[in-house]
Amino acid sequence: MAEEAASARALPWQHDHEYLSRLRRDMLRFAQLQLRDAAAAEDAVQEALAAAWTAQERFAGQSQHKTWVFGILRHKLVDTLRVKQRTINLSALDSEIEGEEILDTLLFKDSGHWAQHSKPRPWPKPETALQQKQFWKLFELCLDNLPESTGRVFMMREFLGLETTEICDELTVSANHCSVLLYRARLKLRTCLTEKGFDDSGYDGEDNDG
Amino acid sequence: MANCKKVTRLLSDALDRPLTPGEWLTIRTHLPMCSGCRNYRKQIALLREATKLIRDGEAPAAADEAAG
Ligand SMILES: [Zn+2]
Repeated sequence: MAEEAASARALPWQHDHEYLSRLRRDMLRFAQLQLRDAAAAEDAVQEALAAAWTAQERFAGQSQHKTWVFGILRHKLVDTLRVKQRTINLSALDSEIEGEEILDTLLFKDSGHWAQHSKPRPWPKPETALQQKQFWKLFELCLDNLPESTGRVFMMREFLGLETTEICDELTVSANHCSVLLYRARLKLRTCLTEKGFDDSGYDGEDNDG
Repeated sequence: MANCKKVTRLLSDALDRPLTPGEWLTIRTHLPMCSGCRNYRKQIALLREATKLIRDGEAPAAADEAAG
């Protein structure tokens, strides 16, 4: 095959099979995280790729193309979730929120201050963390561990880029519920990452006051 | 008097809506004395950065693929 160095700039994206298969794989991963349904994810990716294919826009390079295709995929996922959400069960949502109150008593003392064992300790710096394979692996694992409604609200906000008001309307829950769910999602994600062993033992301990 | 539970919730809300001056004041008076909440703030900022990378398809594939 051709030298690696050449493929980075020479091939237009339409003809770069390696790029296209990587793109497809990344899209699937993204869609699966959102939908938690392999068949539905496959459909969404297929439709997004088909739409991208017929658009025939011009791109300066692969990364620009990729961002654009992911934009199309996001729209597809919003549509899919929109249909799917009608099945959301409000009493299940309520019990999910109540169930999560246990988390509070684990993390915080009665006074509302961090319990000694759960007080967040420093993580590696962002530049470092985002380069670490371990971080991405644990992050995906923890995303998968989120309770269903919590996970859905978090994905809609962060991955699909919807505003909180749109999400509340979609799910027909109150604004307060929405922001509680987002809060829980973040709290759970950081707790999960920490519990799974993501920390920075080599860190200089700059942000410690205890 | 603000506690960590309240402050972490406000720090999360700040990622989704503009906070009121009073809410910022609550945060500003708490953070200097609490490393837990300072670390929490950095951590949820990192979560946001990470999701942004995934959303644009720019996150490195985690599970498979050896580093190049
Ligand atoms: Zn605190």
